[in-house]
Amino acid sequence: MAERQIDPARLEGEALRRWYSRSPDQILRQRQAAEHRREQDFFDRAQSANGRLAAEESAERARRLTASADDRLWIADGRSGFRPVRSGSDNRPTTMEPDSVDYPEFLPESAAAFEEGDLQEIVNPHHRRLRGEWERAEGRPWPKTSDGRNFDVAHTKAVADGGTQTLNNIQPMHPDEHTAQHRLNGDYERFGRRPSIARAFGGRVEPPANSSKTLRLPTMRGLGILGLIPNITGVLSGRIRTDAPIHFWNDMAGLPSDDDPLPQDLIT
Amino acid sequence: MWFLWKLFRRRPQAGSGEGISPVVAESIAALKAQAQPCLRLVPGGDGRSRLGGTPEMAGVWPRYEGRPLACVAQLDLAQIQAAGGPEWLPGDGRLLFFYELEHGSWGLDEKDAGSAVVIHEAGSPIAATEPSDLPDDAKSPAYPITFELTVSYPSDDRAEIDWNSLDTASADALEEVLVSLDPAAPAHQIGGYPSPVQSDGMEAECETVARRLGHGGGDPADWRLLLQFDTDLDAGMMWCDVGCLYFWIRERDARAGDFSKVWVILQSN
Repeated sequence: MAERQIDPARLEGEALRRWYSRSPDQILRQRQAAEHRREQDFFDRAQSANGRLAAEESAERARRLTASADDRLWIADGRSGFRPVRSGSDNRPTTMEPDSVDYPEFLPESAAAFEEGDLQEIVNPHHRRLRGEWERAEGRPWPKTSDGRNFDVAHTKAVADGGTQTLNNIQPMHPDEHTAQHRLNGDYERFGRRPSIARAFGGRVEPPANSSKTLRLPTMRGLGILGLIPNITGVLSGRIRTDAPIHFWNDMAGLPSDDDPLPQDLIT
Repeated sequence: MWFLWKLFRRRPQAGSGEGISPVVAESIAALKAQAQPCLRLVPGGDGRSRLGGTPEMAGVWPRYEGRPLACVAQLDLAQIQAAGGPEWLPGDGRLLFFYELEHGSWGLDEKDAGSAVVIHEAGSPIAATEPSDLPDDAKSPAYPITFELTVSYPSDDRAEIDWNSLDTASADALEEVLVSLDPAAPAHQIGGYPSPVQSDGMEAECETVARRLGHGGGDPADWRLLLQFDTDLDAGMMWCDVGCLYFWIRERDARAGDFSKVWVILQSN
């Protein structure tokens, strides 16, 4: 379900303050932009004859990242850096490690950074796809429980710790065993406290102000002819469709077209 | 020339069925035919409905094994109805969702009874006093939300897609479509089909536990998704490893205003 979120435990100082003080409109726009990116990725991939190759390259990059990383959780250390936290097990609390450790490659240079490329990828996997990849690789069906449920997709390295949705990081596991493993590791307590960890580094939580939903995407005003740039890039990227005039003008205006797969069409 | 080609070329449209095999188109049509309305919870609103925050209630703060539960959401029923929410919910008052945050409740057996509580509060909106032993981790700032009417689709488990009947290209294409139908994150939702993190079929799990607790005897199909509460770091909520909480209720109980038998299931990566 989740597409891309920021783990506040990896931010601090000004970046953390900015993250917490976003308005509902900003949050909504970021989510809509992420959704748009996802749609764009999908259609680009669907059209591309090399889509599968690109997907494999992406998975390979993820595998390399996993191989270069370790199984520790990294959090901001309060001094613009990071420090590793050893995962708790047997319900023992997590422990900090000494500062004199090498940073893995996947961490940004500074915890105060707030750039797109520095964001922690927090995603829920599309498990059906993972299961399918696993079945093709293994040449056998994904296991099921005696009452017909699919086995859980269990991650060797947790998703919240940066674990990837790749075959080398997953395995089928009976749901009861999977749950027991999470309990044994104290994962619920550890991950559930991340927002508190972030606050402990100086984050100040401000309830979002009242707001109503606004335009789907940010607009550029007062820029004269430069204001056309988003429309030109929109056409080139495919965000603005050109197959029919109504699509073209509606996409330019940020409005849905009648034949868009709107939920209301399906409700009635 | 390249620009003109880019401008006027034909593109396959979402859901148009263009460029996909008949068997995939048939599966997509079947999925859409099964679509159910639901409400998604998105940031905004006047704060009457919110994630976290201090609940507005006059009753006793619920506890589990002696520990106070955390209030994870307060939803205004009039706002839900105004947004087109399910008709089986009451039209006034507010629903308060409490959950055992300290260790997490997975809802797998009857021992979890009482670790998740939903209260239908109809009195005047007066902020409750938080118990003195409520842990700091269980206190989340109020995060106002509002509701959007949309549709949900059955998961591939629920839709019973026969993957073995599809060739590789068709299976890949259908997988892509299913991914594109997944709701955007975080997928908080009322009513409709759940978006399972793991296996679908939670209604049967609810019914099984209900029987063990002595109030079963119904059909799994009687259960409705009262609230799907996704991991949402913007709201300061993460359920185990980027998991999701699913609050379930029997439709007849909801219609009768009886929220005492709500059952929650946690699914995690």
